[in-house]
Amino acid sequence: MESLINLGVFVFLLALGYLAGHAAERKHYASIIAREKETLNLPAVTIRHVEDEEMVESAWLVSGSVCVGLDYFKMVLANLRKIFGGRVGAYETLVDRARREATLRMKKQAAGADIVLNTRYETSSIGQNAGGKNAVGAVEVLAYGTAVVYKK
Amino acid sequence: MKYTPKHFEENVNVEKTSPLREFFLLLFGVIGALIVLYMALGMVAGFVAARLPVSTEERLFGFFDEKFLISEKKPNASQIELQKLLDRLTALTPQKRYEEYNAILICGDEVNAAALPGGNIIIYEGLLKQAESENEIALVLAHELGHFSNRDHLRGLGRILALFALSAVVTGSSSSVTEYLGSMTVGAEMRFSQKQEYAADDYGFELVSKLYGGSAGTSDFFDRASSKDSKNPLVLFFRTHPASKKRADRIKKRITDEKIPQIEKTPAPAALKNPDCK
Repeated sequence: MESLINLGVFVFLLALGYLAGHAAERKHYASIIAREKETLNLPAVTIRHVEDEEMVESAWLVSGSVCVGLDYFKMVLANLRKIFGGRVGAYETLVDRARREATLRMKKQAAGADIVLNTRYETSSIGQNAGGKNAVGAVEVLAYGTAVVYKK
Repeated sequence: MKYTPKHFEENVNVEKTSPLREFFLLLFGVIGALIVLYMALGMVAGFVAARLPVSTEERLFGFFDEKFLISEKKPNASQIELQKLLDRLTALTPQKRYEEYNAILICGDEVNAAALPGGNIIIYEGLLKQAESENEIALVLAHELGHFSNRDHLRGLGRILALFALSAVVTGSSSSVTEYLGSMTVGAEMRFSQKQEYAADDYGFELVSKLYGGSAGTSDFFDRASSKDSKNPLVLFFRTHPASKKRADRIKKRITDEKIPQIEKTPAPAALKNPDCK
């Protein structure tokens, strides 16, 4: 009986993880795409220096950080994938969302600037070791760069 | 350098397969591989079981006697009566596989009995309470003796060990899957094939008819169990034993075909009717 309950909880968490995770992901992607289009005119590039420093009116550090959690379904799916190997599709959307959201947040801090130079990304995983072996983890992506306003 | 605003419509960083499809594909892959491995291990277990000498068996599974069974065996009246009945049956067996056979009463409502290595038969309190005559209890014991005679108990145990080992390797020994499997097999519900059960039924039936000189009570137990079977189709599906009605019918057919005399049932001793489980 107890094992049946455990199995039931597992299936419930799996279904909940899939439904909630899927809905959240769709919503997030829709929002990401809309905001990306809005901020298309603020470039965030990897060039490190302005050719002529005389052109710069002001510059400041901007950063955007985001933490996206795994849902239960993705965790189980990724664990299954680990047996066979191959692309872990379940995690790909997660890091993709985190990366793009971090860029958007960075751009938000750079509001008013003409360009964000020297854009960098850093990533780390959070929570996998904190709550035991089977804990649901999360991924953090930090985007940072130098916001620059040119002299007009 | 000129900056060109560009929005990518296609996302190259994300795989386009459906996660649900991927999940079921992987899940069936794992299950399929495990089934193949399990069947292979089962075959190996069967092969070994048919050839395992008794001395090796006792060495391998000696821990059953020491750790599990001796502590369960309390020298009370029920236990003694059960052993007496088993001794009467083993006295009639043509070939003795073990030097001594042990009957062990396990307290619990489960209606079950099982043959364990080393000539040990466990029988649950729940089963004794259900039995209405001594003949029925004798049939259950004789049925388990049949499993010993055919070495089914070793095959079953080999498969259970294989299943445990597999599950522990794949999901970790403390995982809920392993626990789930464990709780399913604890109570020693070893899964025998229908053929094995029928063979044990035949063996048991012959032995009990010999002991009492007649067929009384031999199909009663299955008759009662089959009326329970029909209530819940899931019970039928998950049962380790084939449908009880079929088994009762087989025995009844033998009684008429072989003209085995119907005799008076022997009432079960009080100590077995109300097992001492304190």
